[in-house]
Amino acid sequence: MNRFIKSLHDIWYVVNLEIYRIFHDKSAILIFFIAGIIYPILYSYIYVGDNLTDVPVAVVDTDLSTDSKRFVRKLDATPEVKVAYRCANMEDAQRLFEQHKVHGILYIPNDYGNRLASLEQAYMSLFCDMGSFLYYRAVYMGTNMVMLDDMRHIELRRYSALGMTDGQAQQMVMPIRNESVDLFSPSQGFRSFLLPIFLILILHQTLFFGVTTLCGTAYEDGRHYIPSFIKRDSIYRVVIGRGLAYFIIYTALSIYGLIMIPRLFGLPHIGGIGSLITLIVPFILATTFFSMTIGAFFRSREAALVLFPAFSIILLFVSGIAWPESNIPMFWKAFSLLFPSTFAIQGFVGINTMGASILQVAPQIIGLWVQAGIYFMLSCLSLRWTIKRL
Amino acid sequence: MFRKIREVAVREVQRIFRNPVYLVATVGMMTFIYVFFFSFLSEGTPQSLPIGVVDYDHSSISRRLARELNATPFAEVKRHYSDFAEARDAMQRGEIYAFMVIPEKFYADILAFQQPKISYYMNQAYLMGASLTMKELITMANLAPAAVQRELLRARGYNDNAIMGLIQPIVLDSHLIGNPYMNYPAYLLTTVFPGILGLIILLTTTYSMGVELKHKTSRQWLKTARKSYFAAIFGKMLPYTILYLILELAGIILMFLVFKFPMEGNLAFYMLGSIIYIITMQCIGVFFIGIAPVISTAISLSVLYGILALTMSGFTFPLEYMPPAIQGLSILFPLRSFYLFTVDTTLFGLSIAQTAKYLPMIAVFMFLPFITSKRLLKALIHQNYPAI
Repeated sequence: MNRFIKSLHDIWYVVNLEIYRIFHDKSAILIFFIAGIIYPILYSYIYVGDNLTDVPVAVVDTDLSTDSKRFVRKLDATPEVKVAYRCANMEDAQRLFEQHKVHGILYIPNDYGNRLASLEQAYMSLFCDMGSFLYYRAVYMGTNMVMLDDMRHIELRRYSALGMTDGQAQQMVMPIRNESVDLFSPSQGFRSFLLPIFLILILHQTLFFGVTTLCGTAYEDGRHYIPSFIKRDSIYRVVIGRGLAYFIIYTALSIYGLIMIPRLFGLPHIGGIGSLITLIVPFILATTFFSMTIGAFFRSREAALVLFPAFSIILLFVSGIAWPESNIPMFWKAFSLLFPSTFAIQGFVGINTMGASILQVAPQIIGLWVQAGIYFMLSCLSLRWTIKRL
Repeated sequence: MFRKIREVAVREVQRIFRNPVYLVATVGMMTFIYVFFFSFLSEGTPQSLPIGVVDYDHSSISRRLARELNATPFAEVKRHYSDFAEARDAMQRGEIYAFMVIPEKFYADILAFQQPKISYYMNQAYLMGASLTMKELITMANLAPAAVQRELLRARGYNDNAIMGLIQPIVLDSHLIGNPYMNYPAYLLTTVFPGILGLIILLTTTYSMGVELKHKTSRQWLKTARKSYFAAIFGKMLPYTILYLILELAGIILMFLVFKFPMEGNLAFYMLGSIIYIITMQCIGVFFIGIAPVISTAISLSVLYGILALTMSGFTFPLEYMPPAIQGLSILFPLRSFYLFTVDTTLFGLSIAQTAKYLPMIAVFMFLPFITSKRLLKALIHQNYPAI
């Protein structure tokens, strides 16, 4: 029992020492607190537009019939697209397109109305800006929705012309009705989709860079900041103590970033706070011990920060949300399991955005606990190795 | 002057080979990035995304609908679920991106002209998966009624030509300008690669100069340049310029020659733009170490700015839809102009005369190091800033 109390005492000493070190290191303060607090607000603000509405397009209506005018009017009325320019010819429209003033061109040939009148198929052409996937999505969806809607209108007219009653024609045009329901992020917005992923990545990356900076500093100082009364066999006390120091700070930052920010900035947040905490605890532990494991290999303060920032983009892609998980090659899927961010992003989007229960994200939560366990043991080993090296 | 520059450059090459950080951060990281993205996106635009079907009807026509959905390029029916709750549960677990619900008595209702309703549920938390499957579901929502109409009209004795005019009066053909096959990697990587290379340039530039201040070797560096500030900076940057150009060239060869990304414009002019972009990013790095001659501050500044540049370029989320204040800030990021230059050159195929305007907008940042040159020179001589 004495031994147990002694170990608690040692751990508590290390916690205090580490917190002292953090608050006396400008870089650590900058990374943990300034970046950890500002980034969530900054990105919430940048993406506040959430979704593309009224994307400007040019219409080249060489027909100017009642049918073509109705189509253009309907197109202008969609939330996705705005008819910003009406051009007399394709050259004018193309110039606007090249100047990035419009992101799509709808061309209606001059036989459009006649063909419809003579019960033939009429043609029109759509040109989409592929400079951004979101332009393409808005212009393509908007125009196709109008086309589907206008086709019904024309079909009704044609069936009536064939001598059907309105009721019969209606049944002919719509033998099957359909409805589409957007679950979990009704705005189809970019922010609602991307921000939850960013919020996890911000915590993951600031914790990683903060811890590796502190590890590198210890090496540079030629000290390992291990109290002399802790023997090599009880090195785990140092790992637990440091881990606990980061855990305290990151519990606060996680409550801020993952619970408060979505509620303050109107991001999706239908998950229960209890479920979120069940995820956050193993996420911080796994990330802490992961960072401490890697940190032991750095010999200078800046090394990690020079080498790994580009890695954030890779973590974004392998997480399985930004890029569909079903389409990630096996090798990279296995690679992604090394990083706590993968499970945390999937779990957070599941709970926070889709309202999943703990049971539904159990694989992710278990994955994080397994990582926390493995990285805890590895960080004990890597710390021992550092001490020998000094 | 040439001798001074050469001597600083030779000294720098020796330093590069002595400390592994330089080569790992540049060649190592960029090689990893190229290997990662080209293997990760080897499939191109995601195909066969998993979706579900809830079929309460179990008729021949409801089974045919599911089969037709399965045959579309972007969607693949992964499983049939017994009810709505089960399908929703699978969606929350992230197993499917969308599902279709076919109601009971579906077939009987069609025959009785009761206009039964098919429902499509899409998981918008997975934007990419949902957008692509939505495209297929819209097509299905259009095709399913059309197939029924065709049967009914055939029964009434119409010929196939007349039927097409009746069930599909409008044909809309879509052209995707510059990227006709919706090559998703091409859209993504033409901006991601320069963005990441830009970040790496900032980091290694600030590091290579900051480390001289940190280890108090900056006087020796100036001595090699025989007290010429210009030779010191230029000679130090030169070996890296060559290194970055090789990395950039490798990227261009991979993108446009090996993987055949669309290149509608002049490739040589695009390369000129890339060279200007690279040197500009180096100059911004020198500027950063000038405003903050403390290694960790300058590196933190580089990370902040370099990561933000990818967002501010507007290649994923268009700049026009960001708040006005943020739009104004975008002029501070050369990646923004480089992205527009890339779109105009590779996708729109605009002429040199039309795209040349972007180059001065990138190159203007080359003047930044002159603003802070006095401050940096003082710091190099006096080493009067904290080392860390």
